[in-house]
Amino acid sequence: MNELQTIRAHHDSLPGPAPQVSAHAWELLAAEAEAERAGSGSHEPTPRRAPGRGFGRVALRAGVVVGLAAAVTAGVIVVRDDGPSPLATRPASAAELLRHAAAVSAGEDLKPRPGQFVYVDRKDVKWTVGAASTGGFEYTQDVRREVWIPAADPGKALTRSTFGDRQMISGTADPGVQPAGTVEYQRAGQCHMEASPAWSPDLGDLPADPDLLLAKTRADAEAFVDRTPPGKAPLSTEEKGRIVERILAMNLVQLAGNPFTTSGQRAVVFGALSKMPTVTMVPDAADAAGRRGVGASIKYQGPDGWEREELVFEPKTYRFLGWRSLIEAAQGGGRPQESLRGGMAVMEARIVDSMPDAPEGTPTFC
Amino acid sequence: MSAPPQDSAPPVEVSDAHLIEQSWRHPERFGALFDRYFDTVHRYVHTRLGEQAADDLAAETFLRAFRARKTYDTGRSSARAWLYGIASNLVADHRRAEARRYRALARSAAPEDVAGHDDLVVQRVAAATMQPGLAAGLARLSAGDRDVLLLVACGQLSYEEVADALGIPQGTVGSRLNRARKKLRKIIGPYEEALG
Repeated sequence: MNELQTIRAHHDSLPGPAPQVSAHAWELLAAEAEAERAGSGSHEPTPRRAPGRGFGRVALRAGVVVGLAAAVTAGVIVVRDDGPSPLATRPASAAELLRHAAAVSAGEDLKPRPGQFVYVDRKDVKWTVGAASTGGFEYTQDVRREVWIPAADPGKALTRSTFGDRQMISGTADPGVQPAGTVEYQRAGQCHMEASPAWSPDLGDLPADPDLLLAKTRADAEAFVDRTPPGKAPLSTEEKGRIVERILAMNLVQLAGNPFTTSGQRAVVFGALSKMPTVTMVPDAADAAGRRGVGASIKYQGPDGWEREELVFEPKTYRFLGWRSLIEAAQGGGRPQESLRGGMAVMEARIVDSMPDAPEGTPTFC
Repeated sequence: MSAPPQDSAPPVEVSDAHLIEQSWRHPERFGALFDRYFDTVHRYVHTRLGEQAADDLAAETFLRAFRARKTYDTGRSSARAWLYGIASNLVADHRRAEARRYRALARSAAPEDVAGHDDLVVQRVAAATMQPGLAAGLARLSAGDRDVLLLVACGQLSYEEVADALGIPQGTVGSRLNRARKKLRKIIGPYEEALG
């Protein structure tokens, strides 16, 4: 290795900017653009700050920063239309979109005080397939999931599920579970099956660097695939590769949608996804609640054909709206048609001072 | 195996020059330039001044570029050299800090001394720790020679681009690069050999 290559190798080994650094730099630039638009653009050299972290200038100029940061106020994150961001421009690729989303997510962490709770209100679309004595059935069901996460101990979270209507996809059998209007409470750890993604101490150990997160998630998926169950023929390299890509995509998307994932961690997830070559942009996507947005899609081969995970973002602010899981089904003589296999939409996240008392009783599946 | 997934929206490649020209009337178009190069500029400044300074100066680079965008020569399709030039000018205000940093790195532990339980983290930290010999060599270069060397090594800029970035003749780029490489080779050569 010559001296130029040695320098280059060192340069390439350095981590990229932290998501919050990119977010603050973006805000500064957005403020400058807005100031120019308002006719007061600064042409003076920007005063240099004393060494040390912090973004004093951001605070000073926060009054003119609109759009990207405007929806994060008083500890509430509500997805809404604040008008165009001063730097809003249609991303040229899914990677650009995800980097935008990472920068936005990095700047919106909710910080509850001890004794407070993070409250997340989401709409889930649950997909179920099964068989009854009268025949097979397949349906989706809307479920409102509200999660209260104690600041002091996320392991003691409470989930309230309010079940909505079922949409039968095939079959007529009534599986006889949770009719519309059913409300169930579940305390974290109460049941073997969690109502929503569970809190895990491992979340605290997630890498803070997108490259490392991607490497770790891939390594975990490979380790899982390498564990061939006893009595089963070993998988071919190609089969393993397909399964690894599937697990990788699903795990990263699940992590993005997990209510216990902090906004900072979600930014790292988006950063990791932006580095996957299989991610493509969907200019007109819709989340599980029907809100229109711009999507980032990860396609992979499942056991029954092509499947994809689609992350959906608010088209002006790039705030995360939710995700959908879709499968391609071959249609006789026509184009393949996609059908929904589940999804989630974040409706609101905010800090609250209390959580409801869970009534006695256990959920249907526990 | 079936056909690979089709991109539902192929990226549209708009040149940097075109983006900048559009941003004269529509400042928001400058955001795309930020997306393209913020990480690149940050990493370059990080190499020279450390991460903390890079956080500030990379942001400052884009503010200055935004303010100066109407003077950009749109005959130059890529804005990479222009942005590296602005970043290099900002680094120039911190010459002493840069030299201090290299001297400190030259005195620091060799990568082999990095310890940790996670292999990936260890690899990353080890890679991110500059070889003491390399740091010592960079500390001894003149500021002008170092600018050229690092723009070529880190930015992978051509002689013409380096000349543009620094506002010097191409011939000067060549002579500075040769001088810097010779000097550096003298210093890090034995170190590399010692590492085996």
